[in-house]
Amino acid sequence: MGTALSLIPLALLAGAALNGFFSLWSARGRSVSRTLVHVVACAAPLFAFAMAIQVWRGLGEAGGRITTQWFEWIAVGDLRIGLDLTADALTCVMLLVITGIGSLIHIYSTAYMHEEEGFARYFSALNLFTFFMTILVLGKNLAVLFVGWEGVGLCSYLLIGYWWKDSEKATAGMKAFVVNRVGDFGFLIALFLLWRTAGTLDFAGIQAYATSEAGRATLLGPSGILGASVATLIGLLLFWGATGKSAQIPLYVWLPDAMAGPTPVSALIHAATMVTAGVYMVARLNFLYALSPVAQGTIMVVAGVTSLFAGVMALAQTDIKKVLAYSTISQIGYMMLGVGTGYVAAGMFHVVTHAFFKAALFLGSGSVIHACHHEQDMRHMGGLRKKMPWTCAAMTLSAAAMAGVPPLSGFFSKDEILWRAFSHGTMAGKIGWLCGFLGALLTAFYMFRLIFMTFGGSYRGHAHPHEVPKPMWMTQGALALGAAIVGFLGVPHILGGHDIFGHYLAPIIPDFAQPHAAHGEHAIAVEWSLMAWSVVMGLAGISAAWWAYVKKPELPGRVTAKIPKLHALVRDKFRVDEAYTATVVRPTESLARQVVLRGVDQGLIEGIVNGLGSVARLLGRVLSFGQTGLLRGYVGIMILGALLLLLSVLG
Amino acid sequence: MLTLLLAVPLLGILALVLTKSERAAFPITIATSLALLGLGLAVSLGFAPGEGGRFSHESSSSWIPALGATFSLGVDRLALLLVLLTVFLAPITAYAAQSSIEHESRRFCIWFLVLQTAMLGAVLARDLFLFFVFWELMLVPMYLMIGIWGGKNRHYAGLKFFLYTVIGSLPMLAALVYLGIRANEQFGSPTFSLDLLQKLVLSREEQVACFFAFGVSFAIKVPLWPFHTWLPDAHTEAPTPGSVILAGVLLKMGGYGFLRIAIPLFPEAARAAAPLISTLAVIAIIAGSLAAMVQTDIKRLVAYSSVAHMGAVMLGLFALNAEGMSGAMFQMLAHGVSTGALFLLVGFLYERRHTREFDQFGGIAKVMPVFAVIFVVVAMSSIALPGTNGFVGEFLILAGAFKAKPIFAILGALGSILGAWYMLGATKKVFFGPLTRSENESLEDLKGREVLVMAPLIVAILWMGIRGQALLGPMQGDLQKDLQRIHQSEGGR
Repeated sequence: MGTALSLIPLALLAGAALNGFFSLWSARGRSVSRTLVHVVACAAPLFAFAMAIQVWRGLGEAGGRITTQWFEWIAVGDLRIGLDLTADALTCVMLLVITGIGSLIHIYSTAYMHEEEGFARYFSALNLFTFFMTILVLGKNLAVLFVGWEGVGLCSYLLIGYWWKDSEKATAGMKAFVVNRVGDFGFLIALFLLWRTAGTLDFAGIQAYATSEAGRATLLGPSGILGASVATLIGLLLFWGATGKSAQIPLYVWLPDAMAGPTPVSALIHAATMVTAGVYMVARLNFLYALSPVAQGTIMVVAGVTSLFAGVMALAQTDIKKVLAYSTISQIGYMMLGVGTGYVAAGMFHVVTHAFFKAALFLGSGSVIHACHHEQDMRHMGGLRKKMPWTCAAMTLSAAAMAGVPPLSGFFSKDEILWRAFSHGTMAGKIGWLCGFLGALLTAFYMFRLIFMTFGGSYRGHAHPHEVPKPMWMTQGALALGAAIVGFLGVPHILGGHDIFGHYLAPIIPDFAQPHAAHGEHAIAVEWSLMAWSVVMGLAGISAAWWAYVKKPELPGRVTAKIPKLHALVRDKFRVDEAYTATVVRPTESLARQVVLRGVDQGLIEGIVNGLGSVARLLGRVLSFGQTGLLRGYVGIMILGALLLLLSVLG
Repeated sequence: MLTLLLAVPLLGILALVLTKSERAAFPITIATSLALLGLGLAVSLGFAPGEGGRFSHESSSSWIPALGATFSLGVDRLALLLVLLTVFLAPITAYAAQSSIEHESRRFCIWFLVLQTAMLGAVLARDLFLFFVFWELMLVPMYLMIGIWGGKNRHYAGLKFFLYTVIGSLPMLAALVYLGIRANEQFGSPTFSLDLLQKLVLSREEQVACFFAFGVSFAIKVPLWPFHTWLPDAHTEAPTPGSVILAGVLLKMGGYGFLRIAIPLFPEAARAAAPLISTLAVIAIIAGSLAAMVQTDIKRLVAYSSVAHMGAVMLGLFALNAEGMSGAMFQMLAHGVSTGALFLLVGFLYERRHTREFDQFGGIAKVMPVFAVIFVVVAMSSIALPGTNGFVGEFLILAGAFKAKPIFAILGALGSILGAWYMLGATKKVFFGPLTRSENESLEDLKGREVLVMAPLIVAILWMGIRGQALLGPMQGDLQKDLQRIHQSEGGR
């Protein structure tokens, strides 16, 4: 079983290496078979998927955990890091999503990237991404997780900037990397703090420490910083890292720009997998977060506010991919809210359902863009339901799933999160719930705004849209189908279900029973009414979108005309990017230029050095007796000789 | 064996002098460098520590008896790693130099080989006096390389390099003399043996004074902020092979000096100076990165990035624990490889366009795709992406610094943000965006010969990143011994 585990990343790495070779080969002007590249590109994740299924099925027999040790990576002093992989239930969930949905997106890409010259480079990076993503979830310790964490960042950078000839796209890739590094800074400090506290970076070791008497006491003890406990400090620093990778406030700003990459990349990296890494990390370390109500509360509030804030920004976007980008930020907010409650299965379930419906939506939007000849503005779309029936069906189904229409998947997963947040019994939980509850209305509205603007009415563009080729509509269809049915894995008890998903993850969740959410009569009544209310919100949002974009299409224009400033502010994403540029980027650059370079280096230090230099030159001229430049090189040795003589006399 | 290692470059010089042929110069030099590489590998294969359990291949012969100075050589695992770095880079640099040295190649080759002997000698010396001679000997060839084969502003840059270093050497010389006198007093006969000098009893004040006398010289070589301003000029003006050796090996001599001499001889002073040096190191990381961010010349950017990276080395060294010191040692090797690679790449570009200004480029990934891929890999190493050698070094350094004093690690880690900022910014400015300049349209991608030069460096970057333990493991024993000394001095007083 350990072999199957190792083969998952290794197959993907082999695919990346082969295609990387093909890419260099073709860059040198030699021809490379497109089919060969496609076969390699798709075989790698498909094989990895098969291995992941094997691991998943063998998990029970292996006692819930399969581990394989590659080799000792860094073993110095107190630091012992093995390049070791391990899989438990949580890993298997992620693995199946990454390799399963990843395979579909690879297949979709073979058609989508058909006209691109650098297709081998594309697939090489896509395989490499999938490799690092599996390393991220397979890591047995925090350091190996970090390898995957930074590795997916590299691939994200490479793929966002795939069309690097466009400066803006290259800049978007760079921005993603640097903003993520800002997050990783916190991650790294947390990692060191955890190492110094628990003495290990192994997840199992950390868990053993956190559940031991002494470890618990230390983690709950003061950290000496702002009165926070050690656990709180570590938890918040790690979450700081997660706000980068998982695009939460305040580091979400890179994700909308990341839409510069090819659309399948947005589907795989910036929706289904990489951006959920932060959610996975919090879930993985749930035993640590369980010790810090402050960290959990912070996560719930930040996540809730993010979900609402991003939802608002999605309302005013006209670029189809930007709508989806903000909706992704918003939906990751829900996932974070879920894991923030401590009942991580809720958040993880939304990771899975979101992977299906958002990947389907991104692939669908890719098909639309493809059909409309690279048009991304929804104002120049419309009426595509007749021209692209399959795409329309897949996207509508997925949008409904995301809007929480029962019994589609988003209904179950979002509902679980909102209920867990509501019944968490804390102020933070209530705030998170309120944001998520209001966000549900926005989600339904902006998603169906997208659907109606794209597929409803009549076509407003100038291209000749047509249904996309088979590999494209079939893969997006498969994902949409998944989005429709995967929710049945998590049907709650009150609806007569068994919450299969929750029970599957039970071994990794310490407080699975949720003592503070006892299943009394009252709790069941609350759960029922929450569920009913979210359905009402979802349907209200859809109806409002229908009213505003189908029934009375002139309405949105009239509304925005009444509040032009507010509308511009929302459309311009609250000008957060501009604010960051003005408060962080520009000051850093002028600090570098004015103070560090001109002031200190060229002014102060060089002033002293050149001053000393002229004194030396003067002395040199006096002492040199007309000798020329080069001999000065030997003056040092002469001085040396003289001193040696002196010393030998003394000795 | 070690004497042979030092003699081989001299034999090469003899051959160069005898043939008098400009055309044969590089073949002879490359052959000599390859012989050096072979010998270096032989030394590491035959590595067998002697009595003290640390040094191998020890030899000692009388040299200047009146002074007690001996010609003593020996290699422990720390020295061996630097020897391997030196002999690994030598043939690569010599091979690459063929295309960048356009005149007086024979003279260049002679100084190139002198430099090899000097650097190896400084690493292998087991006698402080011998070390000092080799240390000073390194200065001359480098000065001439900049001054003769350098760019437009070479005289200024060369002189600056020379003066900085000579001025730095004076206190070192004074301290050397002082130690010699003290040794004569305490042991009854003059000696500069590093082993014996470790047994010297020095007061705290003496230690501190000597530590700083040596320290200034080493800090200039590293270069540690604020002694770094010679480096951007030296690098910008130096010819490509000069820059590669300067960044690849020569700077490491500063770090090695601290590791081999200043810290073990004056452990108490080293501990006392640790907060000060760590502070300067953190400033070097941040200020070096910030300065790199606003450069307009690619080579100057790489030079400033070296200031930041070598700042990290100092941060690790003065964490004075196994993690930090191993990280520093590893980072020296990693930086030697990746910055050497960066200077070679910049050199390839300069040979094609005779400019290194960012605004002269843009979008050249279109015409030089292989070059672009290799550059990105090296850039990733420079910004410490996990899986490359840069990460292992930086991670250990920060871990060690965190263990010693968390605030230094936190400030030092800012470098990883700034590093990504300037390095990816540079990558973007050179390679991405539209190809706007017509001069760049006909740029030729890397030739097979150039790919051959880069291949071993890329392999080293990845191998060290993944199997770095193969280098980290062996250095632990030696570092433990040094650390014991440092902590004994703590307990003793």
